[in-house]
Amino acid sequence: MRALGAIALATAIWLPSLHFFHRGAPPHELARGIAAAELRLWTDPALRAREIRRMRASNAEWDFMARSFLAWALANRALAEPATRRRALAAIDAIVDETLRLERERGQTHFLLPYGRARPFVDGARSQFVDGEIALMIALRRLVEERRDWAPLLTERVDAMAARMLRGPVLSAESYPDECWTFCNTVALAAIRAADVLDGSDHAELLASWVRTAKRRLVHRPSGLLVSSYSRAGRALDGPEGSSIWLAAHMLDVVDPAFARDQYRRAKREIAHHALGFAWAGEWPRSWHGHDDVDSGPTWPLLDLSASSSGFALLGATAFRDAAYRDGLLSSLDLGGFPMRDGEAVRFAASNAVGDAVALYALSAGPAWRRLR
Amino acid sequence: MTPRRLVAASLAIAAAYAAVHLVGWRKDVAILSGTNASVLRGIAYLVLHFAFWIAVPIGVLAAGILALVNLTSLGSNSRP
Repeated sequence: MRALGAIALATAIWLPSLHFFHRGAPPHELARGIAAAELRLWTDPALRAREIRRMRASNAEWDFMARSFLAWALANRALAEPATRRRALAAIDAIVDETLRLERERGQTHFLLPYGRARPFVDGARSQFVDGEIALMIALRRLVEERRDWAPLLTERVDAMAARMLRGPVLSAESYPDECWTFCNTVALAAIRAADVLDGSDHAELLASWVRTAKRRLVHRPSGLLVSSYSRAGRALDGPEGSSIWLAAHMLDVVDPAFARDQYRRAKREIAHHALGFAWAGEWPRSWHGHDDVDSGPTWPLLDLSASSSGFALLGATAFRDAAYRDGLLSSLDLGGFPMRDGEAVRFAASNAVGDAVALYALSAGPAWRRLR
Repeated sequence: MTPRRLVAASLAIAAAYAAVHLVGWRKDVAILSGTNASVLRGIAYLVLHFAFWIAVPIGVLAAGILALVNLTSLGSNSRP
């Protein structure tokens, strides 16, 4: 009896103290460490080939998204820390050049899951997933330092995305055959906004119309959150998902800041969790339950913890300056992400290159968006 | 359960965690992201990691509390 009492008392002392031992490095130091590890992949071809093989064995999208998030993060870091600019631009250029080469030689389906080839797209044969992320990579690179030779590449892609969106009944283009994703369409909107700032084009009406349409047709009524995927005609294929909504809110911040913040607040209320100084996020709101898939990853049922949603939640918390939630998420990352240090480089054993790139972007985002607002 | 047993159990977990860490099983927790890795080693590391951070400090603290309680009650039961 005494022993049980002692264990209960020890538990009551230790559990609330645990997070003090998992504060981790300050965000900017952690970002520097992850950037160093990610840059190694782009200076060591053998290492990169191995990491790409590992990711593609599970999901070809990860290979692509690891490039996008790293390029976006490096652009933000270059804007915030001019000393990193030369190295960052060299890496972004290498990433974009190789990604464009693969797209040219193997087609956009090289970066899609196999069902991207299963049937034809309703409108054309291009994926908003690939076009949007490449456009944003090019745009953010040009935001750091102009590359006039890339201006036509951005214009061409933005014009094609905008045209497909305008033809769509809910102003959205497909990422997969008859499958539109909020994630991809909001990335596209941010890229279009960036093109307007860089090249003086004007898509303000498309951006405003998209938000109006989304509020009317793409919102899950019980939670008020944007659904994650829908048919080209606007029929919801999924409800809201943590692996989409945090990033969507961040992307919408340069399109309609009030709507973006509202989505962040709702996501926080619906799927964010915190306890004992740690924080995490679930994949679905209480009012809608989906099923685990390759985007969500496995969800831990007792805690309602999704690693994917929690990673993107870090982006939301940083973007919307929610320091308390961000610090709780960073403590969870330190305890459950299994950081591995090698010199100045940091990577997370529980993650892979795409997860680390998302974390890096989450810790770096801000400077580019301030220029696009 | 005695303080000595609590400390011994905590030390055993800490030693096992140190061993799997030193042989490099940490990288196998990549199974959490759906990336190819050894499931057995990944799960073993995961269990020992959380045991080290949760059960070990609780065990050591509980041993200290129990030893203190035993000492106090021993003192109050002893004759003047």
